[in-house]
Amino acid sequence: MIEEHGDASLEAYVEEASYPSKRGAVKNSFFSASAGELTLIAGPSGSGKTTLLLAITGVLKHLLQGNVKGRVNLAGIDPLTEEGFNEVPRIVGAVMQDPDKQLAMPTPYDEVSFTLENLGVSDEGRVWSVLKEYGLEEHAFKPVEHLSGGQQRRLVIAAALAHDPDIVVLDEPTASLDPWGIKLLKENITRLLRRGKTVVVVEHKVRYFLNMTSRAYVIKDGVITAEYRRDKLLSGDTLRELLMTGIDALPPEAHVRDVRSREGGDEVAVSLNNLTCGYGDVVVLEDVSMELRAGEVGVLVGPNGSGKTTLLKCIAGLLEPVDGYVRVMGEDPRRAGVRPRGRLVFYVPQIPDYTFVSSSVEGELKEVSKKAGVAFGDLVDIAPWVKEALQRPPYRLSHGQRRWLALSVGVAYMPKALLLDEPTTGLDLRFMGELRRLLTKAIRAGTAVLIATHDPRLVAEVADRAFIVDCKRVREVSVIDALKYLEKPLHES
Amino acid sequence: MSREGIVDPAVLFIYGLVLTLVLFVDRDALSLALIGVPNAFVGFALGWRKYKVLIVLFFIGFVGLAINALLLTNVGPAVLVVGPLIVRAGAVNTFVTIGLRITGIAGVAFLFVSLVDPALTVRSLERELRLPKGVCFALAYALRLIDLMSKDLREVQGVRVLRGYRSVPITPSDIKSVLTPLLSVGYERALWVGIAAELRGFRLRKVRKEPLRIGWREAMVLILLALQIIIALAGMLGYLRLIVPYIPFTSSWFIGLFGVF
Repeated sequence: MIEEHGDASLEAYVEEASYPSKRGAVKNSFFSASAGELTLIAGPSGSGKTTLLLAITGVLKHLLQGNVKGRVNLAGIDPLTEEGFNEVPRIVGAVMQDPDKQLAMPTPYDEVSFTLENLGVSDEGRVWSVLKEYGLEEHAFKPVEHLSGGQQRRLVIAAALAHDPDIVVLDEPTASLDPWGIKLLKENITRLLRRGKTVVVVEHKVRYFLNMTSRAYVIKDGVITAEYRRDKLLSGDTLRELLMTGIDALPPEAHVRDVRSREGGDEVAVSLNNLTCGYGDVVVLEDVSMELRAGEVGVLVGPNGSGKTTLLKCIAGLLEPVDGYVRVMGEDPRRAGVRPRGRLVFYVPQIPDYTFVSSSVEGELKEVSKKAGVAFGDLVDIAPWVKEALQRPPYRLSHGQRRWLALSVGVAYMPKALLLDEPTTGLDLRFMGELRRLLTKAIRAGTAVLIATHDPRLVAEVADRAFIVDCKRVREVSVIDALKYLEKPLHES
Repeated sequence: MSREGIVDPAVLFIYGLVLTLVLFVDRDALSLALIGVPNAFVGFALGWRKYKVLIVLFFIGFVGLAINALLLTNVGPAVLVVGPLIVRAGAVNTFVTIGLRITGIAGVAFLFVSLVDPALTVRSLERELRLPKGVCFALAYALRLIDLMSKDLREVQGVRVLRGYRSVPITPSDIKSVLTPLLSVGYERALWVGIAAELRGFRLRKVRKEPLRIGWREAMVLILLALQIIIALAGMLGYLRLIVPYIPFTSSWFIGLFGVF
């Protein structure tokens, strides 16, 4: 039963909210949030979480020309009116999903200044204190393209909250953040709550926030279907209900129990020998030696910006080693005789769109079929939604579907080594299941899989071996230790 | 801590905009060469490190220019015969004039994007030149997008190699398959950056007006600009050939060169 709350600083009843091209993305949904409280809106991918946020901030109606019916009260203003929408930036700090796509300025310093200048604050001291608060002081004048995904995430949050708004709205704030970043985020949220701010977090990985949440709403198929108060939120029944909806509510300990490492084959698929890699004069990793056998899954864990992506690119032959060498099935990937090179080693980047070469899903699968020698029919049958999406451009699929398609392209090449960069960013439990299924297929075909990730779910469920990447070095640890490494910062006070 | 550019972005913007207009209207090959070649030399040299691919693509575009010139303006006396292909003076004239014009404009563009910082540009243009804030923001973001698209292009090229495609696009289908992801990511960036900027109060932004900063560097740039405008005017009015009678730099010079070959 969903109740109205008299003391709320944010109240929204969305009768209907939709994009111009689509009807009824969110309907008949009520939620409220109070000052000094964290309100969680949880739901699986595609459930309408982001649409709801865009609706209540007035963006959907005023900037995207969408249709929004209902009533919204943001600390006394109605963002659905033109005058109210003009006032939204003063009282709301909103952070949308993809940090890489929200950064307007070339450096972190400029990004934070931009918000303050817009609102008439020219205070250099304030810019520095915000950068310091989010651990970005050292990177103030670094080009934002050179920041890691997690650093970019911290930056968009810092820029959105620089003017100290009363209401803070965060859309999937933990996506691509390392555990230290999540810890910093939680500390910042705690500080905001102590100062009486209203914080709304939209997430499908709710476990990070359960112990600080006062109220949680579940949204499914565009409708808020349930509300949980703090006292019931941590009960076993509630967690089970959330899991059934596709929301990741498992406590960290649950992942540790799941660990089942397997032995790989005898054949060494990937071998690195005293590898040093970097960009130009900047050495990112040095003296890395490791091996991965055919059919094994290795995970690279480490802080944002520690060099995980650089290592994967070096193994894929996309970056020339500064020193040492890489061998995949005994061959140097940069000079491999295997054509296409993807049959030897395939790297799936963090942004799935980079992988696509065709303007329709059908065209994409036909190209894969031609180059990788896989029957087109087999590719179409791989997931139930593919047939319906054949005529759509891959770039217009949902985030989860795009990620899945990019991964399927990689698996279809049946490479000897498959390298995945943060494959679970933004994926809910359903797509996690699809990802596991694809990985199982690759492993059965004898592919060695190396994954750069911060996601304990993935480490626990698929890793056979784990490597910590930190301080320019790579060291092997047990999978349990890798999980502890990922969870430790979250438990530190 | 703050950063200052080499030259005030507003002055460089005036330089770039005025020279582009001058190069557009100038039809004299000699003045186009005198203005375009030095600017192109400096612009390409400054931009080479960051915009290598764009510069190479720009020169690949000359193939298209030559084909267009041959298809549309191949008239007048024949200057070169290669098998069945007869190259006439009109085609050479068009190729030289348009080639010099676009080289000059590209040079000025690379000069501008290599010397300015997007954040300083947005401030300088709205405060000193009083341009609308939406125009300044769009321009500053476009400058930033060049770097972002270079990064995207490197990523796309990497995956293309793995998938068994050429990393450097040659055929129209290659170009389409490289451009589609770049434009798709670029479109999403533009959309979300616009939303993020509005949510961060861009529509409330109050612009503080400031006078144009003219130091000795800015003065040099403006003097150079004035000189080039004079050259263009002299070229268009036919005085340039009187002032520089011994430089036979015209399209007929190129025609003669073709003739020798």
